Amino acid sequence: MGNGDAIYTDSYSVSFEFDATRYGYDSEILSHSLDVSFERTVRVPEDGQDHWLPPTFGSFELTATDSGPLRLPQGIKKRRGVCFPIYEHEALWFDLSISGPFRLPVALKVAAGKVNAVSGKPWTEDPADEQDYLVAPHQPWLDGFNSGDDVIRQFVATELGKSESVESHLTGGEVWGGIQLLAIPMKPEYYRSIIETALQEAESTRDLNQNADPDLDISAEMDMCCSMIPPTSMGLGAGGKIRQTIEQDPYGVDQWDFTRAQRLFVSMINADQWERISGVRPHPSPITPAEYNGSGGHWYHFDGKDDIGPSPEFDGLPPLLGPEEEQALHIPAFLRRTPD
Amino acid sequence: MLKSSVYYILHIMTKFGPYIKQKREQLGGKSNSLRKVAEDVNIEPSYLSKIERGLVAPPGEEAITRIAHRLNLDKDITLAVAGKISSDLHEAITRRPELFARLIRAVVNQPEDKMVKIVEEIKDGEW
Repeated sequence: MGNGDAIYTDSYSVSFEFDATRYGYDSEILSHSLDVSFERTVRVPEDGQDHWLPPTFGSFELTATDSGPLRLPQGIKKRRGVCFPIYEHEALWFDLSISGPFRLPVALKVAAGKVNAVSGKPWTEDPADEQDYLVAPHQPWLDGFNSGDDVIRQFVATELGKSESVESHLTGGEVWGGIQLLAIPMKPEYYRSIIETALQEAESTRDLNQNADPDLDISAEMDMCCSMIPPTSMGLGAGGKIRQTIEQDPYGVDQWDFTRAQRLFVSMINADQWERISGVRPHPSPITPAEYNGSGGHWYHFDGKDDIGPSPEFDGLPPLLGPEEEQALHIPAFLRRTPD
Repeated sequence: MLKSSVYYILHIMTKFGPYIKQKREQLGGKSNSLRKVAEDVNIEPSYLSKIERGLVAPPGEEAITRIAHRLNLDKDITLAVAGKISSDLHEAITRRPELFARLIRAVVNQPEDKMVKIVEEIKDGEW
């Protein structure tokens, strides 16, 4: 991109980088990014109860879809972006972090099958009337679809064509699958305000510190257009309930610069077919909660400040699993969160 | 610190000069004589001779780039043998210091086939 903004991957995360020369600063010092990785995890039961946040077993390894050795359907290659293998009914969550000296916030729209995971509405790259995005670093993780007050339904991979995905339930078709991301920086004047405030605070701190190092440099701190479904494509369904806040935007939609947003298509490929496509063995099969608990694993919780409230679009989504599969997910009652 | 810097320069001098001499002699023939190569890269033959014998420090980036081009060598590798990094790579690293520091530390002990895919720019397509 001519303006210096770009998307990179280091194989385990994608970085939406923004060039600070847009705000009148030296880009060498102030370039910043939103880094997103997709974490392997255990699937929680669909028993109607809320559960604590599950752990990570490591990040999914990402590959550019236009990478030469990959034998992917043309429809996926045309979307470009990145892809990773995932097993049917394997769960995942998103890790969001900010790089750069002032932790400059970045907003992120997340969709699955072009259904917005926060609002449940069809994918749009424009501002919406109600908040349909996350704000990092305030929102450090996202584990599922915004289905309730401080509650989400876990992201679980489903094979396209089986009508299990949220895309299928809400649109009646399974055309896109995958994950769609739109990273939105702030308008330059708002970033400048954050930077100047931080610089002033750093300056006053230095003045107050009698032992301050006089040489301290503050800046240094600082296609699927056709009806055929590619046989290897995966989408996301809504699994069990997890306690998680979707944080309200503390800045307001007017502060975000949608004209400079960067988007990315993340394709998910059935892990059973990954070796045939890439020549590389995929990660091991996911483990069940019972196996995880048996090994003494921990569960986590993160209650934020202000939840934006549930999306009515996700009301009434059916359970993803049948009774037999559910049985395999049994976890001890003492690990279940008791509803308030 | 000064002592270690001197040792480092001596190490580079003794590494870069023989490397260039070996590559030039492998090409062979009159067209790759020391005098002819020096003339083509616009430096004095006596200076190139001293470089090859490790008697002086390697020249600047521009001259090394000309020598690499003349001897059909990879510019980045030749600069690395001289203990230097090309200005375009230097600029790329200093422009995103956090990202590159993270990447380099992440891959420093990885096998080469993993390193070639350490970081790449991702493009958007049709969807």
